[in-house]
Amino acid sequence: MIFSSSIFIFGFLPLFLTVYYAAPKSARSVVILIGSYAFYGWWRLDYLAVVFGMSVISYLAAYVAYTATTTTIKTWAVRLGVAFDLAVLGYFKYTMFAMSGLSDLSVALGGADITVPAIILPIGISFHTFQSISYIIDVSRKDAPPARNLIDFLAFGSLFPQLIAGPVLRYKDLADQFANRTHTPAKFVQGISRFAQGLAMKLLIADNVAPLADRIFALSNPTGTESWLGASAYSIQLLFDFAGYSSMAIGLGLMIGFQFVENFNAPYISQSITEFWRRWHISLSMWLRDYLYLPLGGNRRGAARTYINLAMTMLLGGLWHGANWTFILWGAWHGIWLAFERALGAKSKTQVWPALIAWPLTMTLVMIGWVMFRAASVTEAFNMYAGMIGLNGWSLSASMAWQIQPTEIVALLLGSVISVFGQRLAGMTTDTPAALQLTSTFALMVMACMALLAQTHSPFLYFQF
Amino acid sequence: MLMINEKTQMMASVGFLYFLAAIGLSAHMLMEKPAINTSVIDGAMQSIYEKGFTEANPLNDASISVMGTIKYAAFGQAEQGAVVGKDGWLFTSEEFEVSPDFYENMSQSATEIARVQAFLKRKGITLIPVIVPDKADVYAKHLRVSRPAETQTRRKDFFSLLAARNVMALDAYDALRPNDLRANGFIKDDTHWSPTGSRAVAEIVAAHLKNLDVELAPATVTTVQGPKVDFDGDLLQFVPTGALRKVFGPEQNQIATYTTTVEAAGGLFGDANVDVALVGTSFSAKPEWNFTGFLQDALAADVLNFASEGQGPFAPMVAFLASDTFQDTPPKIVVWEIPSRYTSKEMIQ
Repeated sequence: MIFSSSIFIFGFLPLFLTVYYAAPKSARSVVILIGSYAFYGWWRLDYLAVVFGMSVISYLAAYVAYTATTTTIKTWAVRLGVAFDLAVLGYFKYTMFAMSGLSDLSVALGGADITVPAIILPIGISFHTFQSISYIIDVSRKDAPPARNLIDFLAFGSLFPQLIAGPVLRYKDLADQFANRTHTPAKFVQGISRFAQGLAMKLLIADNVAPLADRIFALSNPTGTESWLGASAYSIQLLFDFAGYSSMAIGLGLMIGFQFVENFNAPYISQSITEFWRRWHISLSMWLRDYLYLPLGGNRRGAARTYINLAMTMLLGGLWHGANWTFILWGAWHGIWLAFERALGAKSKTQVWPALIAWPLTMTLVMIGWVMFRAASVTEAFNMYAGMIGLNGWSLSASMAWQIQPTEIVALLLGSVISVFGQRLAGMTTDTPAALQLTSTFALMVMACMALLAQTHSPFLYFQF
Repeated sequence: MLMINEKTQMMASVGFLYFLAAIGLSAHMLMEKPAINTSVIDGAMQSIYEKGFTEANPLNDASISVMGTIKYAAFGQAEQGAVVGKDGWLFTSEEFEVSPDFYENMSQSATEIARVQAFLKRKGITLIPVIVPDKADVYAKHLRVSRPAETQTRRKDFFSLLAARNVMALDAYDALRPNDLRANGFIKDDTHWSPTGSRAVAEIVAAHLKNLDVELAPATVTTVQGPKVDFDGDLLQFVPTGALRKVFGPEQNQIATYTTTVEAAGGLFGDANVDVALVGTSFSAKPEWNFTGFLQDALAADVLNFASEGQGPFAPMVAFLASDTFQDTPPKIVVWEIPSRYTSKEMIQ
């Protein structure tokens, strides 16, 4: 089930909230668990076993690590628990990629073609893996107390607002809230507001820009204008799609009393790649820092090792997004620039690049990265790069021009303005009367719902990860 | 936001929930329920339920209408499938599309027409291909955006390909152009020609046939014009303004209606053979344009219609050649109506 669907907005959401608020406080974790499993099982009931299994093993591993009397037991409990979670992720997400690579190698060496099995990737498995790992490690490090009971932990692991596409919640961020959280009308209305914002970001901006990006990325020889237009369109689509989803998740969390971490903070105003990663998919950045970069040694082993750790973290972060060389290269691209900026002093300086070029350079690097991220293959990405440097000319071809719709351009411009000046614009509305804010929230919700009902099914980009 | 008192916020929250629940409940009541024996394990039941629930939403039509109106009235835009021109003219996107196999398909189409012509010639049958130009070709002045160069020269390029294969085809372009004597040859909000255009094309086909000196079984043909009626073109489905159409458009068009009756010269028990067969697309198949009737009228002879909708021009010809009628009572003349835009597509749709 996806948030921007009729079944969720007019079916699941009102039903779940009614049951949730009708239930006694002590039963609300159970309601969340049942609701979340129903939410996930709506896709396929059989794959709930994967989510359940990972949660139970992670819970047990954390319990053993927490209560271990020796360091050896604790270490092995963590290792086995994390290895299990990674093995599940590896099987579902990377088996086909690895087998395909082996098959290519075998054929290249004159051997037999290896049959690659077709494995269905359970939706949200990547996010669930990271959350399960964070629980094992947080509890074993005693950064967070273990869950009060298995129900609480299963509910955390399957919490439907963030189960499919994040934010990547760490257990320590939510542990207290599972025991104690408040439910107020103000919080609920704030939740509706965030949900409406997210829905509008997805349906009114991202989905209107998407066809433009799709058409241009399908071109075999895009011109300079087309390539940059396509890269811009995808940059806006991805931000509004993913940040929109995160906003909806945060809004849904607020409706049931949870305060999730913010996942985006105007990433397209960044003046460096380092700053970009402090603003983009913040929960993933924090997870990678806490559970990958720091365990690799962080910056404690000298400059060279720091750069390698940064590059390695981002490369693995890229691989986490998908089993494709495009994601690996995208991760490596960001890793290299993070390392380079670190060498320029990004750790201590707020401004890495000269002020005049900082923003355009950062955005250019980000967009170059997004082209690789979006492309179906490395070859397709390089076709776009060829276009971006003008190898196919610069004019907009007539076969593309007639297809460009006014709403695509308006959504692209609106998205660009909001992504760059959004915080300033929001600052200007702080004195808006509360009644007007409330009215505009519901107007936005109605508009987004109309857009939803008027269009066909449109999945979120981050579901594939 | 927090300045609003708690009671108002509570009412807003509950109202929000009730509103969503009421819509959802309505959809559930209105929808067709999935069969009980459908599997929930692999999500099949859920998928069917969700489809039904989504389609039964009572706000669907209003939403489609509002969004369609905003796109059309504010942005001059149709849904994917149509292109909005000037002054309320609509064009099918197919007339703008350029596939990677554009020229290869044209070449194959020309070869196929030559093959059919040669096949029929061996049986003593004359083939008359009639190439119908794109609406955007005839009414280029109503376009807001330029068409790709390939589509602009498609018709002429195709005639060159036919000529290279010794195929003589009729060009309907001049017959469909509006002039002092003739109103629009195409309908503003439809892909097809108007009855006026249909009649003009029928007349050039008849004029051409007279030059061929083929003797056709005579018939008494009468065409009567009926009243003008409101007509919604097929391209309006891409401009779903619904109830808001009266205010924001597109405007309501009308077409004249025609009825043609044919009485064979031999009377009721005369020779049943019909010398002319018409093969083609919806231009020939849809009764609104009365192309068969106009052709009968112009030829003063009966015509059998083997055209069909939604299959392009080539599949109906394959079906016609395989038909019992063709095998048992072959005609003397086959008129093959071929819209230009189909010549650069895959032949079998």
